[in-house]
Amino acid sequence: MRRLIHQRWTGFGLLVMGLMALVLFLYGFFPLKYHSGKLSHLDDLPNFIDGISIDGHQVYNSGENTVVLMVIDGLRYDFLTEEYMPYAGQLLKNKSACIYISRAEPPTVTMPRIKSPERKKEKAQWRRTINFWRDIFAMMTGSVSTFADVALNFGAPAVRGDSVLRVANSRGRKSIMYGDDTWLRLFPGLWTEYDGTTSFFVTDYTEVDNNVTRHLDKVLTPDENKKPTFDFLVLHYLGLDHIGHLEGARSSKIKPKLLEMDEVVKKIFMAMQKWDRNGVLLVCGDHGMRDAGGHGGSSPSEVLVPLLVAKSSDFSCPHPLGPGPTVAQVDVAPTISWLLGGPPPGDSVGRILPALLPQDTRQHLYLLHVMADHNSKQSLPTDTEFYKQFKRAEKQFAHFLATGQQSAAKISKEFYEESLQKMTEYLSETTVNFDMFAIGIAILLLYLIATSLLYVTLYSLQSDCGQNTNSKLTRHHYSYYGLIIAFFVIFFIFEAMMVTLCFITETKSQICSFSSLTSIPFTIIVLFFTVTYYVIKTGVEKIKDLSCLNDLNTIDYLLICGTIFHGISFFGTSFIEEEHMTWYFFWNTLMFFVLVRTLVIVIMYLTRKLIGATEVQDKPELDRRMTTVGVTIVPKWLLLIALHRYLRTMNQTGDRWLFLPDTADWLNAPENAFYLQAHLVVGTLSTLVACLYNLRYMNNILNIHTVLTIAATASIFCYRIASQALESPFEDIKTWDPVNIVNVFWAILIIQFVFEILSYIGALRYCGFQPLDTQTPASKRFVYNKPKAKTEDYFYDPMMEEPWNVDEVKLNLVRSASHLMLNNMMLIVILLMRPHNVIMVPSIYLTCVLTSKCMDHKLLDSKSGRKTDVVDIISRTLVHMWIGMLFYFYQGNSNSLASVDLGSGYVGLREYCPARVAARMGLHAYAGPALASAALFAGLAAHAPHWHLYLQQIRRATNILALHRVWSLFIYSIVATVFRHHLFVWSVFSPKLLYDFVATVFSVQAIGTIAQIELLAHISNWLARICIYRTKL
Amino acid sequence: MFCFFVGIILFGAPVLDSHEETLMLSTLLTLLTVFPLIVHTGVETAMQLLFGVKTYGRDTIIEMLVNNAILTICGAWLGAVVIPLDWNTPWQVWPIPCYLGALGGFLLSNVLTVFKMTLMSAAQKYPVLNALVYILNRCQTCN
Repeated sequence: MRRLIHQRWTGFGLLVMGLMALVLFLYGFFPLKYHSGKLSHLDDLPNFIDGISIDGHQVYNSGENTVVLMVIDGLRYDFLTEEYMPYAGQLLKNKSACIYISRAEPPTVTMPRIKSPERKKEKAQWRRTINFWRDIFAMMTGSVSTFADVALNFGAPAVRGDSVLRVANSRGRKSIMYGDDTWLRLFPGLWTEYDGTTSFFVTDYTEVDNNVTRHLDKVLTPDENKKPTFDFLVLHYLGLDHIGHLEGARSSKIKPKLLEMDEVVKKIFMAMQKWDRNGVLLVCGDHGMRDAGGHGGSSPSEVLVPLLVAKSSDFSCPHPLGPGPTVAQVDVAPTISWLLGGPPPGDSVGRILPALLPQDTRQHLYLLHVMADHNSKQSLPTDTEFYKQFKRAEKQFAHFLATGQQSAAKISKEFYEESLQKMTEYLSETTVNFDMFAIGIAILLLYLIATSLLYVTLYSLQSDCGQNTNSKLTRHHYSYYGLIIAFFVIFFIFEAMMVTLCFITETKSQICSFSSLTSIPFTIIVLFFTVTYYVIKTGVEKIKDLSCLNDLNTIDYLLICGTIFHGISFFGTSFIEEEHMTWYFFWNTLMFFVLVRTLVIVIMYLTRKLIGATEVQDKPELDRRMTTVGVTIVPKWLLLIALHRYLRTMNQTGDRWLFLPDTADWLNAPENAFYLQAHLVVGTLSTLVACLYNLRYMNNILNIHTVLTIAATASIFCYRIASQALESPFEDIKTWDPVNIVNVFWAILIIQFVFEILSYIGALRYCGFQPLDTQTPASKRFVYNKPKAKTEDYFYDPMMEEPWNVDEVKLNLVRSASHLMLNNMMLIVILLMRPHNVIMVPSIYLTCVLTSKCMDHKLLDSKSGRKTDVVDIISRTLVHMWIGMLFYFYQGNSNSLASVDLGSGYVGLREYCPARVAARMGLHAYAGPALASAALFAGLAAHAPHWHLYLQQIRRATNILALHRVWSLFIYSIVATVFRHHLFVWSVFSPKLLYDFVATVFSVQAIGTIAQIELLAHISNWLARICIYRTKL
Repeated sequence: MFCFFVGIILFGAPVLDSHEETLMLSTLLTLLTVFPLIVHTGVETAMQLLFGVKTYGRDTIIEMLVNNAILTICGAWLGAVVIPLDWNTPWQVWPIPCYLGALGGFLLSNVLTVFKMTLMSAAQKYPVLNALVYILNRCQTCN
């Protein structure tokens, strides 16, 4: 098992396991049920009740109805009383209206304070939409929404599934909407008339409502035949909620506002009397409010809202006076659908409000049957009690239809109601509940993986692990079979433990169902447990020498503590929303520390130098330290700090200060177009310079790479001109097709890559063939001289087993491949970035280069003569990770789904292609981390003195990266589990979870790429060897 | 003082507005950190002490002053942690937490020095306490 921990890519494998554990966690956290989007038709209505035929269409018909749905935002239950709303109270008293207690599903999200410029409207809009999403979704589709509904729809909040409005529209009913424009965004194209109010100003609580009421007189007046002009009217009043947010539920403004609402109710009810058909008025709140004013939690005052039902004629409330029975918010949807003559929406799980059910027993029972039948088709298990109850009810109904016995009808009604209630409960529960067993297992697994990664990392940091292991390995070989047996024994022990656990916890989780499908993940989980057990075991046994960690200096401690603290800080919601603050804070501190350290060293150096040359000679190591960086490092570093201060103002991110204007807003203003273009040009050109600088690590034969890089940059400029981001004197470029330009760009990058590989295969062949021809122009292809030196060796000692400088060339290949990767990535990111963000790319490069210079332990620590490569690799990896995160936030990303930039997904694409769009969006969003880690690996390759050391460094770096990733996953999954009922679970915790998932996928991808490069080195080496052998023969 | 001002802005204080507040914070920091040192030792030595070029040997007062300076800045730095929290309290605005942090750090440092002095004098009577003094000394040399 020592091999397991010694293996170079164990860290990578463990990271992949971490990803799978995260998938398991997500499976438990987000219930897999999302809405089928099935559309319902009237023909779906059952025409046979247990074999007895009934004309569904005719019985279902509710007659001509006109429905007015009046949503008063923030109307909580105790507001709808005679004290606050006298007219409505009067209606309730004389039984011409019914009141229900309706339960809204928590959480609803608090209102953001938005007074932002145009560019940020979209983000704010998104947050606001999520605000209303759940309530409107529940009322219109009749089903409880899950986070998957939001996440799968991000950017486009339109409801794709079935809804009341879709049903009404398909039946040719006219729907009208006055009020909050979120409705329009949710159901685009389904309204015949609308006036959406945008209410970004919470301080406005009169205008938003007047904008709704002003249409009422016109729309409520029937035409000459006393026919109302619409079938379905939605009114959404926001004023009450705004007052609540501003001043709380005890404000003096609440009362007049409720009186105003009461007037509206009176107006509608009076108008309904004049119509020639039934008018139904539903008044409800979408959520309540706390006494302090906010909403979003799950306290009774927030989730209990009144639902008032009034009908214009022949209606008397069947319920006794008082608070009224409890219904669910999802019941609104099938009720309205039925009233409008449509079938219940496809995903609805509710039932028709009892007060509105007709008196006629046959129709009454039929409606109950339709609802129960509809619910039972939504993947309900058939072995449950309520399903049997439903079947019994159906039998009784059929019996009633056949014989007309009233007693059968009565029994049937009772059975239907009972089973309907249970069904609705069950269906809502399965959408809301968490699979705690899966979550627990996933967290345990993540913990184990994090621990074993810690051991693997510590093991790889041991300085001596390179040499003496080979001998031990051979000694272990004899027990190979024993090991396998031991492995399986442990495997079965864990399997047995898991099975016992399943039975002890009595969980309903799918994992424990032991069916053939779920046994695969079950086995994989057990396998993971076993692997981590072995890794930890060997880790505990084999880690002996950690003395190299004593060399850590203050900055390293800052880095390590900062990284750990960052993980833990997620226990505060604000630290998730404002995660950028944490990173900015740490980064500033780090920069300050480095500044002080370098300053001290430079001052010491200068004073010594000024005092006399002799002392400098006495302290040669100080001199040597200085020569690598030079005195100019201090002003450079100061400039870097200033640059970071500037980049920080570029994009406001997070939640609380999002509305503040930032530099990007200023740059995007039309009058500042010149500065924006200047940013664009400076950013692109300095990236070009950086790329050209990197070319010296590549095999730049005949300057082909230079030419190609410049061509790629030129095509980026062409793209910018063609997409109108940049003005130019060349008019005809504007007419070029951006898609073609981008295709050319891709082609250039691919050519560069292929060329690089080919040149290496050819190169090796060349040095085996004509080694002495150093003067010919062909052999000048190599930028490096070492291959020649080695090949000469080969001729002096032809009997050597490995005559070619294989390791040397491999290292060179890896070096150039990783620089090529960095270059290409920079160019791609520049192509994808928004114009004002292009400046970020060279800044990342600059920061990485300067930081790795300054963080060098040989420079900073006064003690000399120690081996610093271990601590160097720790600090360098961590600092590159920090840089990555820093730029991730500089770029304007945040932990909310709203900040995902959809525009970048479509660069150079004609039509939607999910994979490509997702890849682009991911690379754009994670440009910072990607570039920083590419720079890290390129830097490692550039500084590694020989191949084995390079492999060791890479291994350490990947282990550290993987450890950090799994560590933050582990902490965050605990946080998410602890706060799973928190009111921010949708707006803060779940998006961050998705971001973490994407980040993990990308780090797997990144480390995979590094592995590929190494593999590539081996393959090309092998290919080259074949070529050479062939040519030699 | 202006070093502090620029430093604070580089650390992320608002650039364009609330200059007065930032200036007040930098004045406070100057008063608590550099000013006593300069008064006591003079400009050059103070700078050398602060940047760690020169060690203070066994001079308790200078040691106290340098410790004061370091802990004050640390306090101001730590004070900024609470700003992004969403408690919506009135004192969470820039730069009040940093003020409080700086003052707290200063206070803590003084208390520590006094504590250490009492311990040291007590240790002369009761040798048992010597171990504690030793630990405290180690801690400070670590810093």
